[in-house]
Amino acid sequence: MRLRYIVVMLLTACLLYSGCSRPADEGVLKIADQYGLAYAPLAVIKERSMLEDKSLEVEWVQLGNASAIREAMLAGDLDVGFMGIPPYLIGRDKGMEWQVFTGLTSAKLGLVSNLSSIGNIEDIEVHHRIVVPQPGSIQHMLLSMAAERTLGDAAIFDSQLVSMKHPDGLQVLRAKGDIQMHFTSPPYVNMALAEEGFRLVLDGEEAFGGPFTFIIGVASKSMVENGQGIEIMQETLTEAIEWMQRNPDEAVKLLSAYYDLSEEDTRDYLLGEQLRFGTEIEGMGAFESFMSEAGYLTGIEEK
Amino acid sequence: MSVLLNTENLSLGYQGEALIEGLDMTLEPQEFLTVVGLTGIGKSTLLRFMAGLQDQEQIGGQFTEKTGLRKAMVFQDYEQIFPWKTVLDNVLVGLEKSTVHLTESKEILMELGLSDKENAYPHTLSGGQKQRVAIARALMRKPELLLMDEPFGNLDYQTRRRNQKLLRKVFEKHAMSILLVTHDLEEAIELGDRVLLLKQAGEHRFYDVDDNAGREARTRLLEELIFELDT
Amino acid sequence: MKRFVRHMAVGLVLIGLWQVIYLSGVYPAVSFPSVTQVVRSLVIELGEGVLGWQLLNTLRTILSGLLIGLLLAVLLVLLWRRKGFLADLVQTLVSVAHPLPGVALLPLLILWFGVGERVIIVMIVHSVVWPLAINLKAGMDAMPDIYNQIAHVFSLSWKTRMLEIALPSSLPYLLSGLKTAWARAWRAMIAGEMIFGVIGEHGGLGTYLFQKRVFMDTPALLAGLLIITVMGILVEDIFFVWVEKRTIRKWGMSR
Repeated sequence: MRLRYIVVMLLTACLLYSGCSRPADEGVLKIADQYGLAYAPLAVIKERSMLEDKSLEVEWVQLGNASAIREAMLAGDLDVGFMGIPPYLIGRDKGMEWQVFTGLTSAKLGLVSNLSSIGNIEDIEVHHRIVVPQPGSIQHMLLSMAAERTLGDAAIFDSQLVSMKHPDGLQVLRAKGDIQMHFTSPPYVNMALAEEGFRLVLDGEEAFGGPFTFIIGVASKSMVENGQGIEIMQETLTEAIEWMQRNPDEAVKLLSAYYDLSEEDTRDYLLGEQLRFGTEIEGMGAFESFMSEAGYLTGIEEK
Repeated sequence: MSVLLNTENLSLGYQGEALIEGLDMTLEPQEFLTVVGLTGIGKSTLLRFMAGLQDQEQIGGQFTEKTGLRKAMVFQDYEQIFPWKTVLDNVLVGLEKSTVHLTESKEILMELGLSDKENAYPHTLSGGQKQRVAIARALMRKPELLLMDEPFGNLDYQTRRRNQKLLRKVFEKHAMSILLVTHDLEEAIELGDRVLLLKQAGEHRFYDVDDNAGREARTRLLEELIFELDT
Repeated sequence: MKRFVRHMAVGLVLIGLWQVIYLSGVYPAVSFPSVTQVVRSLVIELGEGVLGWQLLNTLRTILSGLLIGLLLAVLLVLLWRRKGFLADLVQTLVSVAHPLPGVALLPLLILWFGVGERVIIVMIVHSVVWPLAINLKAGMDAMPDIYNQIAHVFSLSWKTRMLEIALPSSLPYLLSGLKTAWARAWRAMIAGEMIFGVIGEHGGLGTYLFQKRVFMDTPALLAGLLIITVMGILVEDIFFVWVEKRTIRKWGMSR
């Protein structure tokens, strides 16, 4: 008797819970980005309510890493996500039906060491530890590409990776403990290189062998194919990027408030060479062929 | 041989308050002395004092014991037998497991009717058997003085009688003295060569038990003790 | 053993249920793979991958943490049972530190101990030392006073008192402390690794789960969870039951 009661309660709880957590509101577009200046056009859209002005109902979520965005999209909690190319490729490789609909940023990524003895990747020893945001991230893939080219083994550093967010990575790099390197993005590359004795071991474009897009926007295939929202998204992104270029002073003011940075620093980061915003996509094919060859993409196993 | 222990005008108690006052007693070698009295009169306090357990104080008087007196003790509680040790290991606790000790302990266990329980764990034993294990453990120490605090207090009547007989036999075989505290007057007369009766306010009296006296004499002694306790 | 068989039976039912849900197609295969995919991943990861090493690594790390924690707990309890300032200090330390999850301490521990294996060991030690100390103390406190009297009357040595009386007497408490400690160490280890990725040569099971997550290898992720479940059952239903049977149950001391 009591058991039946409990089962009923549980079922009710489940229903209530799923009812709350996944409202099936068709009208609302749920968009996830990550933290950092590389996502600046999105911040502009958010702050200036540019999507709402086009009477598009949106909900913004900021997640800590690409895996979380991917999982949320898979679970149906998100419609649009922004991330690096490799996490997208991994998802597609495993059978996720999603598609890239825009580029967002190109950036000068870099591997920084806190030891003067490490000047290029051939100097990296087995006991050295390298911080990346995650295995499978664009930083990890760039490191592997360089490793393959220079040392003939893409996976040679794979067991030396430590995963941390950019600011935490910078902190442990400064602490000079058991971490010697950090593969990161602006502004953390610049902040790290400003430290005395820190060196750039590897530049992102050098590793890749040319320019590539850092952040892309993805959505489910069906959405890209027939969704009105995606077109509006693309349009608005272009407008936001143009607005930033036309009104640099206003953009700096808005973004320095949004990221809680000084206006001076924001100006440096935005107008310098480190970040370039644009909707074109570069380097997708090269990432894909490298990742398949090196075994980072394996395809779904057939039953 | 000299006396084992001697007290003169001894007072014992807790936090300055005397329980036992002005006790004069002497214990001879190979003497069985039983101590009776109402609950809370200080029987156990006296015994624990003699065992050297430090939870009471000597308030006054003299206490002397034979130098190097070998003592052992048997408690009332079944818990005195360690549940994680076999009967044999309980008997040998703190002793080296030498051949000599093993032979001795087996002899003692046989004497106490526990030969078939050597490797048994205590939770499989009856209360009477547990108390006999405790006696065996005490005997292994070859005590000159065995202190016993209500050893049969928790046993049913039959078991108690059987164990009393066994104890008296053990006493006669081993050259030792026993100081046994009990609230059971019959037990005191049955076992003791002498009975020490503790009364209120430090009053105490010794009674000799004549082993050869008939049933009538014993009944008379019992009645006298009962009368003394009631007044 | 009976409990083990029962758990296994329940496990089989759950596996069957899983396959039914998979076949129903309610969830996409990316997030809900079939049982055969999971089993195949398990075989591949154990055979070709480093999952075996990672499992051993996890066990080795946990055991070293447990051992250090146990020694520390014994020391703490010895201090705790004395009266005075040190006892108060230990008491305060235990009440403050015990409710703190190791993962919550991680940001601080990283600053102090870096991100190597050390920090995981420290986190495991933190996870185990308090429940061990609390249980050990409770065990010692629950020890009947008569044992001390016997030790005194029979002039037992300190060694005999500790090893032959205090230890077995508090064993039921110690064992329940060890069970809690094991569960907490296991969690701390996996949680810690899932936050950083690789620690040490191949890392442990947490590293494994983390890597399978970021590369979206869901069957392998589930294979890892399976290993973790089986390990839990092995330790709790087989190992601890085995120890209890040989000790406190044999002695009639189980609480």
